[in-house]
Amino acid sequence: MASQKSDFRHESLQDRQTIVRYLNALSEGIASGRLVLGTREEEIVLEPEGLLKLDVKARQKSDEAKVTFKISWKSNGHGDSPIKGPLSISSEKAD
Amino acid sequence: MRQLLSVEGLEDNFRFLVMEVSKQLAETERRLAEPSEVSIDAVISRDDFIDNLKATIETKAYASIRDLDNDDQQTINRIRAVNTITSNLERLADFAVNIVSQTEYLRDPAFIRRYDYPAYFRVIGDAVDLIEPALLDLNIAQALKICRTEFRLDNMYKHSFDHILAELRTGRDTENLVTSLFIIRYFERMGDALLNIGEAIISAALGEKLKIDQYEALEESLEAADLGSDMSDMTLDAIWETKSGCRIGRLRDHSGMSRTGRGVIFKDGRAAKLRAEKESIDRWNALIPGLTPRVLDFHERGADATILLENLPARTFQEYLLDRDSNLFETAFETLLSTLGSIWNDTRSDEPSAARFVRQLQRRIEDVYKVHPEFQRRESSIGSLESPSFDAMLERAAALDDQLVSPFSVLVHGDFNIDNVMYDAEKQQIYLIDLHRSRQFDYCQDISVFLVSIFRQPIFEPELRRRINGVALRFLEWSREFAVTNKDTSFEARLTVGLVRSMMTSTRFQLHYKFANAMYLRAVFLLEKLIARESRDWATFRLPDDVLIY
Repeated sequence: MASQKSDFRHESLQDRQTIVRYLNALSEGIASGRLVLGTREEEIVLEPEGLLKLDVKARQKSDEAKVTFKISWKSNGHGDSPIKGPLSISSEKAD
Repeated sequence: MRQLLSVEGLEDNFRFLVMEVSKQLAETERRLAEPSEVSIDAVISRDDFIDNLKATIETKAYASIRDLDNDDQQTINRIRAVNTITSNLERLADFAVNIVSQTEYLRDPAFIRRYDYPAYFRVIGDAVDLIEPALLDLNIAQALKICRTEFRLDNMYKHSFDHILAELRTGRDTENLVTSLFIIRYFERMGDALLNIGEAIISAALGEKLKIDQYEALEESLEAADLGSDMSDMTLDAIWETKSGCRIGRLRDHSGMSRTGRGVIFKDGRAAKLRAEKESIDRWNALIPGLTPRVLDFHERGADATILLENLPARTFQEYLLDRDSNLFETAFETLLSTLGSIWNDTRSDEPSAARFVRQLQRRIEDVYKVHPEFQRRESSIGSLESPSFDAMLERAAALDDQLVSPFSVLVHGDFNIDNVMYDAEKQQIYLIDLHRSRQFDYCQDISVFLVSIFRQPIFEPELRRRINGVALRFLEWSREFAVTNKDTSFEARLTVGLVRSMMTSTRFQLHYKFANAMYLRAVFLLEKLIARESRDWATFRLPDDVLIY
């Protein structure tokens, strides 16, 4: 954990097929209990365990639509301080 | 209190009012003794001054009540008491004026001396002197003394009245006798005002309306229990726990409990509930002596009852759990587990028991929704995934739960919260209190209530929280071992439903939304796990331990 960044952010434009590839990568990480996100220099390793809180939000406006999947959890099953900045994936599409 | 009254000079105004009323009473007495030395005009002008003071205090009191938050109920109660006392002090002053006015009708000014009026002034004066200290310290013993003044004045009045009546029959001194009667009648009415004042102080001290009658009941109990009948030596420490419909107070005598050795607990509430508690204590004592506080006295008066219990020299399990500096927790915990194991083994009967946890919850769910309306979740879907409404989940879980039966029953506590368990570290002895719901039942009832009472401690500091989480997991493991030893195959499923019930009902008392929501989400999670178990093969079902961790 020592060399880890505590924040990671990625932003890009994708088509639907590529979005599905990103979602699959996330699914695999959650299923295995180890999700690695990073750039060439640094990486962040998340280890989802215990009860994971899922918060799904969707919004549709006249010129914009949005869905947010937020998964958060306490980083230590025995009550350590929670990791802030939960992983989030969102997709946006202009009408 | 001191701080409150100093706001905007309220305390000074109040002190001044008490002083002026005292002076007015003294002048009235002097007028009776030496009519030529005190003019009626002087008394009336002081009365105007008292009226103005009263108006000033009332205005300030109303303004401060208006400016206070609603949740500062204690301060509001105190200001209300100031108001009530103020208007009754003003009545005392009015009665004094009336007495002075009556003296003009005495043909023989010395006539009134026949009725020992100085004794009336002494009794009234002593009570007035107590008002300020009793209010500032919210001293119930002093307030009770003020209340008692009314009884004393009534008795004195009765005595004087009988005397005057007898003399009236002789047909002599009629005018003097009637005037004397009027004067003495005002003393009696001063007693009523003093009773109102004493009760207002008691109400402020206890945070609720309480009548002197209830104190009479308390005193009656004390006498019956032979713990020392003189209430003036006792302090009612505090009154707490009103949500269950009972008032509970702890009494301590000023001599540091030397007379009784220990304090007593007094409860005043509905007869049915207190009788249930007394009967439970009797039953526990018959089965396992020494685990409950002794009942020192029990009185029923129609729908109400009072119970007087031994005050145990012990702290609650909750206090041990949350005291991070105490090294006594481990022994307290170990003692609790071995005591509980003995209770369950000793009282185990082969009578099956169905707790019907979901039905228990359904009866209370409206109270939960009143506090947290958003918990009445509607059905939703994400793509092909569907989740039912909360009520629908409860209905489905209820159908499962109706099939769940404990293969045996034990004597359960019935409200097994960590603050209903006490531990005496010196004797290494566990005590159980608040046993009114105790009965032969599924032990998962006590386990689930106990686990959730640990979980719902609003402690978020990591180190202490870790300890709390750890204690919950250890208690769960210990309970599991008991279930396995007793070949209870549906234990995990029943405990799961029990936790759903307790997590949900606990949210009623938790206004910290995030924490209440954490309990709600755990209840939903457990419900989904149960409902997903279509095979009804409960022997292989396992409660996910993680729900106990926060």
